[in-house]
Amino acid sequence: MTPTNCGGTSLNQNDAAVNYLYGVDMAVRYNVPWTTFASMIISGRGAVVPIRYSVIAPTRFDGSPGFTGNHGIFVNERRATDGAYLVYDPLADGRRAGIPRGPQWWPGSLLKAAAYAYPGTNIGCVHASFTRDTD
Amino acid sequence: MPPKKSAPAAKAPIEEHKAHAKEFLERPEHKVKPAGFPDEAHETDEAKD
Repeated sequence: MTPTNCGGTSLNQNDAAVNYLYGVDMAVRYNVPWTTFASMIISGRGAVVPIRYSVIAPTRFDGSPGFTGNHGIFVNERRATDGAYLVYDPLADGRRAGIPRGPQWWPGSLLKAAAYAYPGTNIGCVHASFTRDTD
Repeated sequence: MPPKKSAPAAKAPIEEHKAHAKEFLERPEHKVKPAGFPDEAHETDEAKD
């Protein structure tokens, strides 16, 4: 028997898990101003970012048609030429036609809107769990 | 306590971004989970069809 719904995990729970499994310490920060978030990524850090999937649903980046709830994605880098972000969405596994497969370059405006829409977020801010600086 | 600096412009030298990141991560007010933040940040199990 497999569960049909086992809830989700928080940023702090994920941090504890990767600490235990891999000895990796994430920096969990709340209500990070968007410009600071961009600066953190440009400086060489990756980040797990909680988003509201209803913002992604109407776009070609939708990895689960019909889903509009809370979700977590990983942001690896920012492209200087157009401000797009390389996003690893665990739902983007290409399991059928129309669902993206693997990392995608999301427009900065889309990532920002989806992160702004997450519950408990101050205006102009996002929540994030940052990796160490890998540059 | 030194004044908080705004993030540098995206085109600023990377050293400025690294300095801002280091300063920001030390700010204690951003380490506290705000009211209204869901305990379960992900609903992926409900998402994947």
